[in-house]
Amino acid sequence: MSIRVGIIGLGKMGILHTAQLKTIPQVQIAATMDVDKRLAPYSRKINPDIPFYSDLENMFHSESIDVVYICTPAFTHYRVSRTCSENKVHQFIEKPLAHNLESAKKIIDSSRAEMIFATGYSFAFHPIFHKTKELLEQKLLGNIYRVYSSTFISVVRKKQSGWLYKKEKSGGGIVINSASHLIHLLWWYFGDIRSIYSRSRSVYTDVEDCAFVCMEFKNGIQNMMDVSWCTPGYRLQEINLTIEGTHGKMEVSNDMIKLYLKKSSPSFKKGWTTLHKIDIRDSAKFFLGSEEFNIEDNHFIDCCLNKKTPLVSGKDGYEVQRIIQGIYRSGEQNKVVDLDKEIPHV
Amino acid sequence: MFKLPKIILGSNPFDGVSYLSRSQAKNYLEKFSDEAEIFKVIEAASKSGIKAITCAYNEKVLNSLDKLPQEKRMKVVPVVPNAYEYIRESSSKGLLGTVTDKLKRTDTFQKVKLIIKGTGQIKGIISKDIGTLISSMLDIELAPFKKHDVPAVILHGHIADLALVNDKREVFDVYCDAIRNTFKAEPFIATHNFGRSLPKYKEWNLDVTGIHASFNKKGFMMRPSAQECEELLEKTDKYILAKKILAGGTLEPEEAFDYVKGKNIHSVAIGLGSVSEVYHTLAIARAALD
Repeated sequence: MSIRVGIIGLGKMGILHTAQLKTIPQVQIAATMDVDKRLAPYSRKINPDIPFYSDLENMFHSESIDVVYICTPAFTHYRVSRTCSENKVHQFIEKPLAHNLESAKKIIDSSRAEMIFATGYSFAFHPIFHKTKELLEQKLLGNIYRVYSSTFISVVRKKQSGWLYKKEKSGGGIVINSASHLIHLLWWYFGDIRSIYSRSRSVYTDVEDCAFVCMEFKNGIQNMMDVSWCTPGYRLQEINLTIEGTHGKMEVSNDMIKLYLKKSSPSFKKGWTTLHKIDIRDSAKFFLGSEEFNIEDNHFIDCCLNKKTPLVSGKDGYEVQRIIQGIYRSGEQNKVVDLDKEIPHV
Repeated sequence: MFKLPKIILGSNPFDGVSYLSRSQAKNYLEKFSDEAEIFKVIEAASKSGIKAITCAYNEKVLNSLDKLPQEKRMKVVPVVPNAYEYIRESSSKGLLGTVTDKLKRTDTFQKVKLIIKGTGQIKGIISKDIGTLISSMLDIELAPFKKHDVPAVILHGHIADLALVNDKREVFDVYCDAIRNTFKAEPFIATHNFGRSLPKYKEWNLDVTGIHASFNKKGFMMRPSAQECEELLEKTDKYILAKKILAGGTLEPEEAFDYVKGKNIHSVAIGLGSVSEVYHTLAIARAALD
C-alpha cells in the first residue's frame, strides 16, 4: 500500500522531511508547495517529477493527497492546517504547533477525528530521550521529587533579523522555538503541570533570549528549567536533565544517560551505569541530520497507513502550547500561573 | 593507483565536534578556540609521521598547518561545503538568504568569477543549472585551500546523502568532473549511509575515486546495518577512507585498529584532541597497520 504526501514549506525542515520520506518505500511525494514562487525552479531541479505549487488550494485541486507535512513558519500553521483539514488529509505539523495558543486551539478544533495528526517534537524519537522514557516507566528511581532541566544553543550572538525573531510571527524566542522540545519531553515524562513561574530576558533580539522557569507538576515533582540561545559554547542544541528520586538519580544529555541506583534492580547494578547513545540501537535506516527524523517520519507514515495514534499527537502539541503560554503569561505578569485555572485543556 | 597516507589526521576536535558527549565537544570548542592548541596537536601529529589532514574550512587549522616546517607540510584533504554553517543559518535566513550571505563574504576576485558564471546574485542562483551552481560552490569553498597541496577533496556527507536520496546523479558527476579538471585533485564522497550509497554509485557507474564512510567494530553510523556495509566494503574497488573507527571514542585504539586491519580499507582519518592522545593512538595505529 502506498501513501501520497504533499510537502508544504520548502525551508530547512521541508527539505529534510522530503529527503527522509523519499527513503520510505510506501511513500510517494505527490507535490511540494511554497508561497515563495522563486523556489519553483529549485524544486523542479531537485524534484523534476514532483509538481510544485505556490498556492495550497491549487495543490489540493490538482493532486490527490493523503498526507501533508506542514513545514512553514509557525504563524502560518493555522491557515495552512485549516485548508488541509477541509481537504481531509492526515497532517504532520512541525513544532511548535502554532505561534500562539489561540491558533493552536483553532488547529485542534478544525481537525477531524478520523484524520491522523502529529506534532513534530522529534526528540521523542531521539534514541537517548526515548530510552529515558523507557527507564522512567520502569520506575527505577522510586518517587521522583526533583528535576533540573536545561537547553542551550549558541545561535544568537548579536542583533538578529528574520521571522524567527519577530514575536508576532514566531510567537516568542528560545522558549517556543527551541525549548519547546524540552517542554514536550518534561510533559511526556512527568505529566500535567499544576503551576509555573518564569522570568526571561531579551538581550540581543526583540524576543526572549534566555529564561528561568519553575514548574510544579500535578504529581508534586518540581522542575527548574534553564534555557538560552545566546550562551556561547553550544554548536548544537543541548538538552540536559537531572532527575532525582528516592531510589537514585538519572543524568540525561543528548549523548548519554548516567543512572545512579541506591540498590540494584533486575536490569541495572547498584551505583552508576552509563548508557552511551552510540550503544543504544535505533531503528533509523537512513541517516540525514540526526537519527530521530528518520524514525519520526517512518512512525508517522506507519500511523497513517494503519490508523494509529502518533507518539506525539496534535493534542500533545496543544498541551505543550498551553505550557508555553503559561510560561509567557507568568513572565509578563510576574506571577505564578495556575495552568488549569488560567489556560484550559482542549 | 592513487594513494593517500594510511593514517590521516581528522579535524573534528578542532571544530568542536565529539560523538562521545556534548561536554567533550564543548571542551574541544574551548580548547581549540586558541590556535596555539591546534598547532600543538598538529605539530605532534607531524612529528609522529602524519602527512595529511582532512578538514572543513577552519582558518585556525589552516594557519597552524602553515606554521609547520616546509619539509613537514601536510597534504590537505578539504571537506566541502561547510554544511553545518548552511544548516544553522538557514533556520532564520532561509536557504537562499544563507547562500547570498555567503556570497557577500567572498573576495572581489571570487565575486567577479561568480558574476561571470551568473551566480553572484540571488536571481542567478535560482535560475542556473546544477552544474554551474556546484562549480560556483566549489569556487567559494575551495578558495581558502589554494596554497595547500590538495590531493583529494571530499564532498560533505550531508550534501552527498541529500543528493543521493533525491537521485541527483548530476550533482556527483559535476562534482567529480570539477574536482578532477578544475581543481586537479581526486574526488571523494563522504556518506553516512554507505550501505545505500555504494550500490547506487555502482548502478550509476559513478567515476569517483574514493568513499569516506564510517567503519568500526560497534557498527556506529554504519547504515542501514553494519553487516550490509561490511559485505559491500569487501567487494568494492573504490578507495576507502574510513572514519569513526574509534566509534566516537567509545572503543580503545587497540580494538579499533584491530577491526580495520585486514579489511578493504585503504586509509583512516582519526580526530585527536590532545598531544598525549596523538602519541598514544598513533603508536598503536602504526603497530597495527604498518
